Amino acid sequence: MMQRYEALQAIRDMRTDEIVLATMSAIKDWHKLSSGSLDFYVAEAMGYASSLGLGLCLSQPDRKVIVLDGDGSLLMNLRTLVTIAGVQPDNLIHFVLENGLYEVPGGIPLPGAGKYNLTELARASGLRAYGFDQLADFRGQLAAIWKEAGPTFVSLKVDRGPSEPFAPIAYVEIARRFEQALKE
Amino acid sequence: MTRRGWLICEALRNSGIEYIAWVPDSETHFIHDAMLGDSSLRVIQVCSEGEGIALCVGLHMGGKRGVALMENQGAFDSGNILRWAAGYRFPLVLLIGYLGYRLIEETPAGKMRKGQREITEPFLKALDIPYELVNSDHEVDRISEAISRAERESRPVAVLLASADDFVPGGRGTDG
Repeated sequence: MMQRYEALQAIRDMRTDEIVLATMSAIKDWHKLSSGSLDFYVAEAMGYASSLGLGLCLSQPDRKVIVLDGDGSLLMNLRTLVTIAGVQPDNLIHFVLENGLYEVPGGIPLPGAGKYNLTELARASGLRAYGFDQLADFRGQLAAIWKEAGPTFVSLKVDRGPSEPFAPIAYVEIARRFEQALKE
Repeated sequence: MTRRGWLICEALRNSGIEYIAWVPDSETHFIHDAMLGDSSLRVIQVCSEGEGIALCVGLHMGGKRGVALMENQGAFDSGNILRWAAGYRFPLVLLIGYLGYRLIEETPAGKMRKGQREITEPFLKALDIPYELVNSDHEVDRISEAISRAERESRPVAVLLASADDFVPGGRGTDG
């Protein structure tokens, strides 16, 4: 298992000018690691960060789009794997931070937690998929994954994050800043 | 191919729409051939209507113009993402097949269930999404007006599309 913050740190260290969309609990840690104009927080649109990312992949084909999803969020919109595989955006990496919990409402176990394998589900949907549960392995493979043509799915097995409220974030203002940055 | 389907595609092209995020539905069956045969419109098939809505938000943020084409039942299924998009004031355009509209209009005695007709417009009103109805060829220009309004007012706008062919849900249309 990895700590979510450490896993996101590895992604932050690799990132240069890529678009990053973070959703749900990933927002808490990503906001501490990066708060630039190409960061967008998909708060409250439960499950749809990867669908929004797919739209960005199509409208910004020269930029890589990084989606930081959660397992609970992905399960709300699992069909996204099939849609993405159908469209085949070569600029998408879809990371899913798996801790088997709905963390926001207090750490409730996901339905079927431990009985399914998201990496295999992604692979069966037609995506290139990787799964990591050790930080050193993930860091060791990340540069190669980053360079591959997408779409790529990466599951990261992480521990439950610290129990802390979301920092106050001006989500709508950040959305406008993000849109503006993409125009420049 | 119906004339209205062709007119709708022409209206989308003329408004600068490049993408249609699409879940097929029986009410807008009349558009399908025109849409799929139009090389200037890129049709992105999604598995669910909510995905189509989120995809259109991504297109907009990245500087491209798209519409989400779905049935009213799919819009109902997408309530939260629609609420989210309205709250962020994204200029979304929803083309919504109006299941139940024409049949109820033609059979006021109630041969067809009334649910979609009674819920569709109140559903959009509850989300503060303005809408127009297109039920004839000469009303197709309401689509261009809706696209302009969405952008001018930075908000989702819907166009309800009544069926324009003899396609029977679950059956085969006049074109086979």
